[in-house]
Amino acid sequence: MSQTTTRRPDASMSLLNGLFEQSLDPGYAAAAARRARSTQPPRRFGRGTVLLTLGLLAVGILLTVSAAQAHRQLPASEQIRASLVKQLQERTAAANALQGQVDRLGSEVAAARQRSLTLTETGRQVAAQLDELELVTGAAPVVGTGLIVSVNDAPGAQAQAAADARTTGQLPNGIVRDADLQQVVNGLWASGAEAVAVNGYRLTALSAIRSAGQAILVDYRPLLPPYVIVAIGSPDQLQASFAASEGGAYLSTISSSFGIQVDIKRAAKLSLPAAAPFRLDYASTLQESQ
Amino acid sequence: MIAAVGLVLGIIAGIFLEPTVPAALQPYLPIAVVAALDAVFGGLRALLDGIFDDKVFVVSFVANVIVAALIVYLGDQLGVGTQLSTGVVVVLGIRIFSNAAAIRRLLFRA
Repeated sequence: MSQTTTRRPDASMSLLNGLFEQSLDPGYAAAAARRARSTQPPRRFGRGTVLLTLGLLAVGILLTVSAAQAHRQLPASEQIRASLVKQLQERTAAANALQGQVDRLGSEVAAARQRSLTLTETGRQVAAQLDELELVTGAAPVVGTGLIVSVNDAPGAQAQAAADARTTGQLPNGIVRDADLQQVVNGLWASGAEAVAVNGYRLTALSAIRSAGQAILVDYRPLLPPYVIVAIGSPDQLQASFAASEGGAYLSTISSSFGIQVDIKRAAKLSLPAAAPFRLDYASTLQESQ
Repeated sequence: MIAAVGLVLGIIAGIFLEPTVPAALQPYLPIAVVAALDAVFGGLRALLDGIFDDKVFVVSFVANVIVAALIVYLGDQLGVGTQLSTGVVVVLGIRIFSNAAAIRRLLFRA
């Protein structure tokens, strides 16, 4: 006679049932039953506590070591990117420090030159001529009234440019290009501006506004939008002449057609910085070349 | 609790000694951690249930870690490493959640 044991209806699910119901190690229940049956009083500080301490020590070391390991093992690309960003920041800080030194030395040299020139009469005349020339060429900072023209990409154009770069490789119409800035600057010069600066970079006879990819460069220095073009002159005349000029017409066309944001403001007190010191290798004055 | 001092000592030792894990064992470290967590939660639940036993805790911890690492190693050799490690993580995760729910019930009676 075979003895049949009644099977539970969900006997085939014993794996999942066991998983959920027996999540606690059955050893604990067995040990508790054994303790209840034994007649020995429980020891306070014995082999069990030492074992437990060692076990917890191992747990602590394991957790800490793997946390340190995970922290050290950031994905390789993330590490490379982080180190590149750090290098970029360090180099930029070093370049800025050197630029500050250049500016300081330049002003010291100018002050010393001024001091030595004012010692004689001819020197003073030369100094006056030098001041005027520096103002015109952009080698000295200037202050005055004038106009501020802000040009910015159309809203949403940046995102579209990122998408277009992958499909067509061309810039969308809403992005400001170097030709736009060239038109604005030419229009301001034609309207009677005496000094022009773009995003803090003074324009001189040697300045070029060109583009490399999507970035606009002034004197090989990249600019970020919004582009702020500051011109010193008579605000009324500048505004009226610029609006009537070719540059002003161009600006209003691209603003209405492509959504480029344009803002023209008059200003009573503008100060433009000096241009970076430049050197002429081939051009010389008539006296020098003779 | 003297045993808790052991845990703190272990954490401090891990921070200051900074033992470097041999490269061969590094892939098995995460699974060992999950197995260790399962043993710790089981121990906590037993403690709150009043049936805690030191030997069972240490044995369950060591056995869990070794067995989990062995299963994943076997899976790597057979070519089903990721699937087996997923299975191990699923099972250990279910156990951890079960024990955590029981602990919550015992602690907060909620």
